[in-house]
Amino acid sequence: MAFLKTNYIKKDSVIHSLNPLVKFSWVSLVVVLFLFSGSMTLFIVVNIIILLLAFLGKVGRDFIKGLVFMIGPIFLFSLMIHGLFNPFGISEEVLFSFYTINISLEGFYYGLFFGFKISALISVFYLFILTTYPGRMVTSLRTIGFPHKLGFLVNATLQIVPLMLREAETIIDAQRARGLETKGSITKRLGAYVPLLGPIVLGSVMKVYERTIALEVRGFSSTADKTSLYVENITLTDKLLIALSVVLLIIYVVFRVIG
Amino acid sequence: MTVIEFKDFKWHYFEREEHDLQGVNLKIKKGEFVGLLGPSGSGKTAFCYSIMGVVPHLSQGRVKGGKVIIDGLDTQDSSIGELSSRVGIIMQSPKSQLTGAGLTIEEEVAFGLENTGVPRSEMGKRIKSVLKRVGLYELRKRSPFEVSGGQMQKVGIASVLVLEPKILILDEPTGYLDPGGTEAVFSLVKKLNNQGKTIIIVTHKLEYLARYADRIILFNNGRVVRDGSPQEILSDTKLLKRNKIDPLPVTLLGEALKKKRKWKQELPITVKEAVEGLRKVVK
Ligand SMILES: Nc1ncnc2c1ncn2[C@@H]1O[C@H](COP(=O)(O)OP(=O)(O)O)[C@@H](O)[C@H]1O
Ligand SMILES: [Mg+2]
Repeated sequence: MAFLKTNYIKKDSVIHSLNPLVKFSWVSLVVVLFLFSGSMTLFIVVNIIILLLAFLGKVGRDFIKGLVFMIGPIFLFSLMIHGLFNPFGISEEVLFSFYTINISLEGFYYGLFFGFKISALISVFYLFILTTYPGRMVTSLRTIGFPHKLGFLVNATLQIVPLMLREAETIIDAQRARGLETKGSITKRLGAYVPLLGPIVLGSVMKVYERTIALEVRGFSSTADKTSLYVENITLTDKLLIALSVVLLIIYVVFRVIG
Repeated sequence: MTVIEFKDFKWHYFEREEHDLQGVNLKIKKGEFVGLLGPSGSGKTAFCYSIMGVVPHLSQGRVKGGKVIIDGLDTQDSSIGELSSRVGIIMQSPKSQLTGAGLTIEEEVAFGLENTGVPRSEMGKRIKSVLKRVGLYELRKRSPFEVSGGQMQKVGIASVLVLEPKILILDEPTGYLDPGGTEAVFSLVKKLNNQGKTIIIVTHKLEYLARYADRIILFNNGRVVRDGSPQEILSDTKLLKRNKIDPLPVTLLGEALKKKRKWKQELPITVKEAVEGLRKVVK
């Protein structure tokens, strides 16, 4: 799973150098669209823009790889469920038939819509994670009044995920050395991974206690005013970009209300 | 000057029949290097946690009597956060001491300073000085998860040390390390002790205690069984065996020769003493 990037990739790019709050404003914008918009065109446009931003941030290849891995199955599933059963549909128009299976046009459309919608949301978070240095993220979240424990949680989760993946790999290698079958048919493979859950989950639980102690002895619960190793300065460009997000948001809301 | 004082301290973990610390009484002076010995389950970790305030504040259990005073603070009335400016603890698994708060060693070390509100202007200086002291300054931009076990353990030590505690507790810090890592950790700890830190270390590596400790406290069943100099405790093979601890090979060698009435002096605990003793035997 090492091919799948789940955290920050160090690059020298425009996107990297933006204040994390700018990217945070993009995330917020897309979250609002995700919650309220029903326009497929809009989501396709959002997807394209984020893809372009990922290339601008010099992480395009990893971005695409990760995205396909994450949303590929969602797309397929969504197309299948909606196409076959069309749970929200009213029209009976059929896109194509295959023996007794009918794929409905409406369901197919809805499946695509749902896929692009999810993909927009995942994309924007993924772009944020790949191009934002975690330490800076926490610092800037703190400047807008984010509780520091929450900031830590987000940050540590982002760092622990790749760690757990790596640990899983170590365990898989160890089990493979003892003859575990991780190749072959899908069911066989899935079956083979079940025994791995034990060591991974148990190992994680056991470490929680020690990690809690490690956090506490470093003043995690201290009531002192927190300070930061980094300073986040916010440039004029950053401010303009955040303003742009706000304006776009307002425009969207106005159109929704009028239209 | 006494920095640690246990007054008839009794601690009971929930779900257990017996008390886990059954009335511990002792004093530790500033600058002492104390080794803790005892079979597994004898309460060494509970003792360490009691100094740090993890017992009673984080562990599931109850104080059944007595108190622990750390540098003037009663642990039952002080938070772990308050105690952390006086005591730092390092545990066995190097990885689980990393908080994951930072991508680099430098950031991991900064975490405690950020939490306790140390101004940014001072942070840089303190991080630099502590990383130089433990010999990790060159690696400061590396990920703490991508260094050797011994180095990872040093990251843990640096992260705690940067808060400038007087007392450093190490609970089997070399359990997961190879001989090189073990040597590195012990010699660092000795250096810190020479600079004035009070050291409490749990370890099964008797040869290091023989070399470095000023005092050894032997635990069993939640009680202090014996408290004395390394010479006194490590050369008492019967005492060690009774408490399920393997004596050092050099000591056993001396003992074997003593049985044949060839060894006259005290039993050796270091190779140097053994060599000197053997010279006399050979003569
Ligand atoms: N969290 C806990 N809950 C209940 N019992 C515990 C807990 N931690 C340790 N114990 C028990 O307390 C006793 C002392 O444990 P510990 O201090 O860890 O011993 P040592 O470090 O010497 O191996 C042991 O019998 C152990 O099983
Ligand atoms: Mg222990």
